[in-house]
Amino acid sequence: MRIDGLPLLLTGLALVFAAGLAIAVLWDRAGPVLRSALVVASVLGVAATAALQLNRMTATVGSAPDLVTATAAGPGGRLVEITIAGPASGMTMPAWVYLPPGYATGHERYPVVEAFHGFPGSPKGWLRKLNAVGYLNQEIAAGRMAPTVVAFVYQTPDPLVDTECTNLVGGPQAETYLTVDVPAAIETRFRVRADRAAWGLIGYSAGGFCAADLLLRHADRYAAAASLSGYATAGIRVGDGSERTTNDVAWRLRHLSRPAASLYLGYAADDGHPRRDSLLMARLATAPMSVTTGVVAHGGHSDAVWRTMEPPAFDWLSSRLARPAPSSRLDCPARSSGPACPISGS
Amino acid sequence: MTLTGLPLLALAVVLTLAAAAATVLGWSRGGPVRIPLRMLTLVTTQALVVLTAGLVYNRSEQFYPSWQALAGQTGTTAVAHGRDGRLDAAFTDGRPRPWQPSGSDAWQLSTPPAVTVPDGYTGRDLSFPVLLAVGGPASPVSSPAITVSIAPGPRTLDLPGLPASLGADLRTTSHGWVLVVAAARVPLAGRLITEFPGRFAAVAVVGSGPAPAGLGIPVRVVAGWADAVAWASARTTPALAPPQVLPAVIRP
Repeated sequence: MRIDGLPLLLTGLALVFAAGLAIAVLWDRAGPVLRSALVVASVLGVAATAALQLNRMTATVGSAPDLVTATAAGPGGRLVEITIAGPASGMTMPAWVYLPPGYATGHERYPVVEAFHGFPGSPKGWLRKLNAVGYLNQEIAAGRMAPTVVAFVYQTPDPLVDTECTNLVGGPQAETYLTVDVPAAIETRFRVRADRAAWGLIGYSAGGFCAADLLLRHADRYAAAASLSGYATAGIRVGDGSERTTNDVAWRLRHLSRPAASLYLGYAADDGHPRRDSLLMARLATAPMSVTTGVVAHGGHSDAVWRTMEPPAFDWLSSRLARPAPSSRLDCPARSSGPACPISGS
Repeated sequence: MTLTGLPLLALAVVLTLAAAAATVLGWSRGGPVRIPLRMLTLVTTQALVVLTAGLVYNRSEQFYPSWQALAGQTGTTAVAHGRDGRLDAAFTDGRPRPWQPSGSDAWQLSTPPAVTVPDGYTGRDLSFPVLLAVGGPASPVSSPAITVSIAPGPRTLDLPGLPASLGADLRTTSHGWVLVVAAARVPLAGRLITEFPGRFAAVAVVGSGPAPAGLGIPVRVVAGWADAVAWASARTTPALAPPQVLPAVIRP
């Protein structure tokens, strides 16, 4: 039984009813000890069932093997599960990688997008709640998006620790994992481009902050980022005070030189904090940065809003990244130890 | 009654308290239906406690600011608008054609630019990036981008208005273009990159020796035109159908 499955939730509800029935039936005959035990069991049952449903809504803990199987036979792209062991960060986490239609038979190297989830959350938010594979298949089939490899990655090794994709002092080195270990693993295992022009970021909620922050902090590695209902600030303590300076998107845009990079800012008009922060970032991200905004009329901070934003944001990202190209026309990535990587005439 | 307003929250609190009171007061009543009654009031109270907690949390975090949001309605549909180039019909895929937009006299070229649209241009509504070849052979080399071959004259200093004119005449992208220039034309390339910021993604210089510095975008020195065009073409953005677009903020 999956922890995020409907059967377990229904079991929880059944236990709540059973505890209620036990209290109703046994109350008159029970002594103080049994009465206390019944009440505790009932309260715990309600709390646990509510927690199960919250976990289902945020897709924080649980597995997605069925998604991997489901895409293996279908006509669209394929989802594969890999483990990314991070020699630089010390983090080792599973990740799901979308390989576009044509990947298996083609010879080109593809652009890459790293996708960040919200907090609490996990890559399964993209895969289960936001139907990312379905939207990617749809946009690529319609020609609005070039075939692209998309990596759905974890931002934290602990579902209760909010890293905001930073290197926490004395904690997980999420930034190093996401900007060094993940790219190295993707470039080694898959036929992708290694150049900056072909790497982009996307994220919703806390993942939106991650996308904007990491684009500015690693503009030598990423060319474009899409923030969906994201924030300008981390909202956590990194441990070195950088959440007020170099890990604050608005601070960076005000005080540091802006890179020639592209930023997409999507938000719902009735989602106060992300709306204010997106407007602030849009105002500050002047040339040589390029900003595109996308406003959803209403829907708050919810899956429905992000599903509305997904196709426009993916289309935008693809239009900002370099195209799939034959290996022979790309410069050999320094770290590539895997597939042959001939260098173009120079 | 709004989802995040005080009235609904107050109602939920009152109902929760009422259910709790009914549970306590009705515990020893009800005769033969006593057990089902206990069950009903107890589970109703529990459900109302959870509901009230949910309303408080949602009121503070504003995940669902409205009933519409809770129902998954965003009131927004992304739309894709294609557009035609004025001269689309005049071009045949892969066949170069002279191009003389109004204002091109200012470019002081020795011959009008030759423009070639790539395979896949005709019959679909894709927008293409542009490869600007400056000072190369008259017959262009094949590229997946729209190729504009420019033969600069002795007085050609820059190409004012070229991207806008080309964008009106053909379905071009606004960015992700590349330059392929003869070594002697690097200064002109530098002026184009400065004059049209954000437009060019890379420049290939046909010749030998070290890559010129200070252009601000990836540069590669390549020995032959065909290799230079291939290298630069790989750095363009893809040719795409009109994107799905959400309404934008006019200017924050």
